[in-house]
Amino acid sequence: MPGSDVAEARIPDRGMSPASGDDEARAVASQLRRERLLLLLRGQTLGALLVVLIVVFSLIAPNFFSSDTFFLVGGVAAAMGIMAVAQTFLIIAGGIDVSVGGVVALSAVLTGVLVDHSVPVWWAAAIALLASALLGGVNGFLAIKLKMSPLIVTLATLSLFTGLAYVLSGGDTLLISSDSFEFIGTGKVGPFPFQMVIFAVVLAIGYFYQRFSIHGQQIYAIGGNVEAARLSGIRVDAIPFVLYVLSGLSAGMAGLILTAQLASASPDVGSAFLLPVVTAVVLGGASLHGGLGSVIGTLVAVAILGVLQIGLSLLALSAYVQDMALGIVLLLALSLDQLMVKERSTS
Amino acid sequence: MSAADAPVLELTGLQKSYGATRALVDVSVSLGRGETIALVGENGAGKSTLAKIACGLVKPDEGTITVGGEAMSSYSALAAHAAGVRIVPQEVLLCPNLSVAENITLGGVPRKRGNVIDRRAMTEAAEQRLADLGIESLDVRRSAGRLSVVQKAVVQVARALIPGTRVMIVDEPTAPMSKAEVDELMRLLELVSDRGVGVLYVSHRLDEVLRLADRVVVLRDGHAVAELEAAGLTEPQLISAMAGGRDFTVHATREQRVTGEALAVTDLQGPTIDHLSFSVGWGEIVGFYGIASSGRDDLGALLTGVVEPEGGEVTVDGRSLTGVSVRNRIHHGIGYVPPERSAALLLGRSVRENISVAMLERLTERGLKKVQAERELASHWVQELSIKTASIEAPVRSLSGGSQQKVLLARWLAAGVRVLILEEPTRGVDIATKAEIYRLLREFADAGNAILIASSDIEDILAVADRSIVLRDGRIADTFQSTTDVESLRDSLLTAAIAEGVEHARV
Repeated sequence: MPGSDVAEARIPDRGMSPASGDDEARAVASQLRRERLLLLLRGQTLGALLVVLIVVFSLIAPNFFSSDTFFLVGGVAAAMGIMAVAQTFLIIAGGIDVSVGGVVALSAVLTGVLVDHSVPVWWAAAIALLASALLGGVNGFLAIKLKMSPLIVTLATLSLFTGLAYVLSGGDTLLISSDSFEFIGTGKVGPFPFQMVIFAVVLAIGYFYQRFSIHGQQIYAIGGNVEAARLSGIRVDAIPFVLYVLSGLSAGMAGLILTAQLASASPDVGSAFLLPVVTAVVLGGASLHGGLGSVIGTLVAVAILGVLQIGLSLLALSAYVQDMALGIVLLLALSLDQLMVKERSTS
Repeated sequence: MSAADAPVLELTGLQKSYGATRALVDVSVSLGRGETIALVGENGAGKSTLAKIACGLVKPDEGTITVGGEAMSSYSALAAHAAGVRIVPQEVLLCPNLSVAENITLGGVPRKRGNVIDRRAMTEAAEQRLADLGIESLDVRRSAGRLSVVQKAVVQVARALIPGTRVMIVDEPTAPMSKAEVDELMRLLELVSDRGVGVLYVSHRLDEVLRLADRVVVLRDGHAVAELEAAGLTEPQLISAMAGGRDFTVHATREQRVTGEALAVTDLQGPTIDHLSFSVGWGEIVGFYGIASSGRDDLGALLTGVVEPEGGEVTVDGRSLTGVSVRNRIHHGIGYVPPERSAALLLGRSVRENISVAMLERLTERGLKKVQAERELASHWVQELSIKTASIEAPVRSLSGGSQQKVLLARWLAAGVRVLILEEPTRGVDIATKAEIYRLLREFADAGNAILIASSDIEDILAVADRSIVLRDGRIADTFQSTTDVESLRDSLLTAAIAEGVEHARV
């Protein structure tokens, strides 16, 4: 636009002054409240879902609403819950471990085989735990050092570990008779099943780790933005590696609990944990993209899954129907998650 | 009023808020047939929001939209397209695996009987459309993914120019283009408006705006603060309208108290860096300037170990960094602010966590985090750098670009680094915050620390650098000391940066 004359500029004064810092702060504050509310709603929905399930089952299932059921749920959920706590941190840090079912089987079978070879049962258990942690380390090494996709790595090791468990046991169920060992699976502390106590301890440690440890804060950074975490001097390899080891260890513990419960070691025990652990973590609000999630959310989700399992069993519905219910609950949780993301991106 | 005289696009009283951020406040724009209106304003002034509302991608909270004299009651992207409103978006939206012809005719593929695509008609239609725009040389069978930036823009304009087009909204198309490419696009858009199409042109580049537009609408903080006739308008007038009388003088007096060598680089080699040697003293700010391919973009990553150098040595305070991990470089006192803020920020996490993240490990007591100390640290730096945030627990995502950049500075200040390496330190930052960042950097250097800045924004270099190094083809083209004669320094820097290969200059 050529033009040498004085510009014919009209600048309407609309009484505008630059936004003051206070204004901006207030604006940010109200958006923050909105997001908090959404997060709270999310937590509430999950809690509400648990309450609804309990109420529904109490109405339609005989004897559901009782302390027996509570301990039953606690017992069923304990093994899964222990693994879910470890999985929560791994998923927050951007990893995933679907091989836990295989580790459970191996831990059980290894204990059984060692006892069969006259190794004292507690020694056998300790070796199984160590081996489980090692298997977690293998996952970690493959996923982190060799930079392979954790989902693919742990799918492969799931197959490997499960197969190994069957080979080791020859497909047989190995009996373990030791009252003190069986206490892990069937014993009680007061009215509480001992495995529930173990879960409670793991949960407490997990909560403490998330809230008050340096790592507990750093894993969110690693999962949220690994490059930013690296630039900030966070050990972006070592920390997730430890989490893989812990995931393996937690699966080892679950394997021992199940073995003690049955007083026998079977390679079949792992198959029940193919998906529920990851399901619980995602249902509890963790994102498979990393950077999101909490132990408390996982706890509520574990409770929901436990209630579902026990409730549907009390109704004498088949395991297949239970599988369907699990799928529906997962879809519900994910659609809620999607709604959250949408809400966030529009605000 | 008959349909022919009516404005092709009339936006009245538009209001739009994102959460609590008011993106647009009572903005009205009326675009006539064959008229070109430019939208200008700082980042976050509301330009893109306005463009998105105009093409139906975003719904306004309030306000009316009229296309060709017809009030649009429910306005969606589809309705906008049907009414003849086209957008040439900021990011190129072509299907890279389809041919040019397929991309151009995407909105209405010619078909034969039986719904089979008529390839010949498609090719002809695409060629015709390009010919209308005076483009003969482009082979429409080429795959769109292989086109140059300007060719892609041409294809997008051609696609938008189907029968029935009344309005074309062009959103910052020239950001990645060279001078010659910009000229070509300008010519094209003039042709478009000659055909009676109303053009809404969103841009940062004031020279383009003044060349192309009939009228200029200036947005600031969501308000349309001025509507100016472009004829006779000058760049300084436009800038003052954008700035709104705020004072952004940043060229502070420089105290030179350089003591000893902080950062020494000898014979550094990398992908685009060719045997580079220089040093930065304590208390000094050294600015690196150059065009895109000069090596300027790779310097920071090489110095901070994000990218492994192919050769050469970097020392900090006399200690070699060869083989030192990114993590340990922080312990050597180096902080790095990469060109993309999103690469360094934990967007979903709180301001507190983003500030403490690089020094969290020092905030422990018997293995546990010192919760209170972390809060105090975050509060301290939020206050110190006047970071605008609702609280230290607000997610960094909710902050403005300038505040986010300050959070990054706070992170390194909190970590106690003594050498700061910054790339594009004011990208996407509004002018007022820019000035604040310059002041902060100056203070940091005056306290005896060392700063290296690599920027494509010459203002960054002019504003804070004690010494400016111009890179060309991975080598030092020239070095300049700071001077009070900013204009001559600016000329010297530009000349040195593009002395050779002016044709390809893209700064």
